[in-house]
Amino acid sequence: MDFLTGVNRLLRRNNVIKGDDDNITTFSDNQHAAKIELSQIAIQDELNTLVSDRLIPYEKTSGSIVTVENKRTYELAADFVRLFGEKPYFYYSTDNQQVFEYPGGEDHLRLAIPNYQDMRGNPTDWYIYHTTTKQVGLYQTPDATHAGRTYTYEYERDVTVSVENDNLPFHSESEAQSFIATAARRYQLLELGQGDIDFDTDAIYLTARRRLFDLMRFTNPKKRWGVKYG
Amino acid sequence: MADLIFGGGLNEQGSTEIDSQECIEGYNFELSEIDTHFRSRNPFEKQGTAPSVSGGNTINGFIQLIKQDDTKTTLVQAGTGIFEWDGNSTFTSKGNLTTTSKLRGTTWSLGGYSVITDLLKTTVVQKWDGTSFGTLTTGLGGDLFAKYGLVYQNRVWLFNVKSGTDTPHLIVASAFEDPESYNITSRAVQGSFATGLEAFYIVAPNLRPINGVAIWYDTLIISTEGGIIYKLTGSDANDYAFKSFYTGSAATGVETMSATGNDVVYIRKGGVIESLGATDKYGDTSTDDLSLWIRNQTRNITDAITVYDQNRQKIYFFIGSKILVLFKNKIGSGFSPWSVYTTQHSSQFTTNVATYMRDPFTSEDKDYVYFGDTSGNIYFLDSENVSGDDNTTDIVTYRKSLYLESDQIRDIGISGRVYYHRISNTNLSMGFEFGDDFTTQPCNVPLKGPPVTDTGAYYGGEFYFGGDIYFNAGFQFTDLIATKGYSPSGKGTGIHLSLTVNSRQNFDVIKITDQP
Repeated sequence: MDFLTGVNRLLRRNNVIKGDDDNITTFSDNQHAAKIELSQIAIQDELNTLVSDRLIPYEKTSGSIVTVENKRTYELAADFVRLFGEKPYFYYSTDNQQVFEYPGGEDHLRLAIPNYQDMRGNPTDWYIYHTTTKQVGLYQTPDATHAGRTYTYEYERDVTVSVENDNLPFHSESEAQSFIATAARRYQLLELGQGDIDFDTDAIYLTARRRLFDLMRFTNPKKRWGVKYG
Repeated sequence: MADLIFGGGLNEQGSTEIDSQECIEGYNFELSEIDTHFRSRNPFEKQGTAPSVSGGNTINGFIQLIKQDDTKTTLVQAGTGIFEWDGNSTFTSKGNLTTTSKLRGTTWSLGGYSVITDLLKTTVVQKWDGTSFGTLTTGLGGDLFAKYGLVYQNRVWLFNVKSGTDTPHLIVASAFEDPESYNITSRAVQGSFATGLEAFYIVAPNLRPINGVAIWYDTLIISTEGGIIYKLTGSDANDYAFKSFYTGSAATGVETMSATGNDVVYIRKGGVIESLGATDKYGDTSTDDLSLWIRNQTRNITDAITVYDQNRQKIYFFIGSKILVLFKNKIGSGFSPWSVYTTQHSSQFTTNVATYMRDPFTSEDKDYVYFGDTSGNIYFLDSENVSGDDNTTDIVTYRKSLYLESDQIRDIGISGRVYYHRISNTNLSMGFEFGDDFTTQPCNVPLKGPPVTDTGAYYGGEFYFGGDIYFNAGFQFTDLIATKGYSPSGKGTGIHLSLTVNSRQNFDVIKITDQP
């Protein structure tokens, strides 16, 4: 399901598109301009809530960096959000080498090895390089021998939707439909000017969200809870 | 905001004097006595093109003669040419005028002919008997020119005449039941009359040029230029006299005064459209001011052609580039009875003649308001046969509401639904002018027509009227109500809501609500 289809579904669930109304074909359709804007916000907010809360399968992907002689910092993928896993690493397959994060990051590295920026050789650690874009630094900085190597990494990508044909990040239509149900409830509350309430106290919202999580599980959800005796 | 319906017309007064059913701006919308919908006027249709003679083919006059046996013939004055017109493409020459004129006719039913006058008084009084066009016998020694004519108390009365000397204040009345006998030496009352049935002349008491005549409830009314409105009293040449009817004002222009069934309307100096009936009943008060609602439209109008469409109960004021339209059946409704007709068509509603007459072509008794342009084209208003003006041109229908306020508009914005009948595929452009926002948020609502599979071929042809499906509601959706949502961006203390449809198709918006 793409973003446009999701918005249409949300608008229909909330009785905005009904009667003789046709589905919208573009977000610049001004017949329902205010409702379209609000439904986009509801879907985006709901998606942000979901991905900030947990990992959804659509987020995981992989990227790579190619070392360059004397180049210490490297840009990560444009849609990079964060590295995947509890102990993320960069992997050089030729040598079956894992490069892990320097414990404590650059802050600790600069204390332990003051000339870490000038050290040349085989990269053995990485650290987050804080700047205006998502970048990592390598320690040691690759020398001529270790230039031209491709290090792959797994990461969580940005699944934000913004234009009509962006796909909603779900495996199945039923997941996407259930997601729209949660967004539709958020839309209702936004429209009522109650967008700042604690959604975890709203029974309608929680029911829709539970259904979504049940569908997103790779195994059947538990049906019974409690202590088993004997 | 209550449901927005459209029972009233254009009202340019202060906001506290405007009802939500009216509009503060608008044109080309129609008003109805049986519903409160937003719909377009019908288009005008071209029915023929007169040939050109030397001096061009500007349409200057229509004369229609309907005899007692209900046979009809129609003359068209195109330039200086006089043609009998069959109501279609056949124009048969019946003569040529020597100078530019604007001929107008009045029917002498007893004799079966029309007496024809000339607003420019350059052509002598003429006669059309359905076969030949020629000078009317008057019994006078010299030529008789007259600006206006009408039949009253079994005589033909000619007003603002010239016979040798121009005497615009003078009226001649034919002998009783003899429109070919006039007298310009025997003055009513003062003359010597054996029976009182003789021909005579009479003058406007203030001796000013006569610029409007009408009959109102069996009373002959005349207006004098820059003067007074008089009514005729008496019953024959021995006692006919003009008495002041209304000293407060008189008509301006040449053809602004017109009988409208139960009233006489005219435009007075300054551009105020007056009702003689209300003046008679209430005196010189705002009650007699029919243009109270549209003072901006009428301000400083100096001339117009006023035509009453009896069939549709509308009074048209052709004022040059547009027509002011007074819906008679809305007078007294509490709402403005006015609309304005404009056109994007090249004719621009600019005409030298407009008249209400029977369709010359059809054998049916159908009456329309006809007008012509400078290229010989003859049109009639309120056609149901064509799509767009002259079957070529979109009609822009527009109205803008007064300022509508509600807590919802202020706090949340506005959204709701448009209720309409599915007639044709048109686009309703809504414009939301939010207070304090100073921008107009657009909202285009596509109105649907009949379903593709419903061709509505119920008149025996392939399509209704055999052409485009231009006002076919189809069978499936006839009288069914459809709705479309709207929800523009923005919020403010209130809105002016403008509605525009630019189309050759008909549409019918029932109401606009602010409910989901």
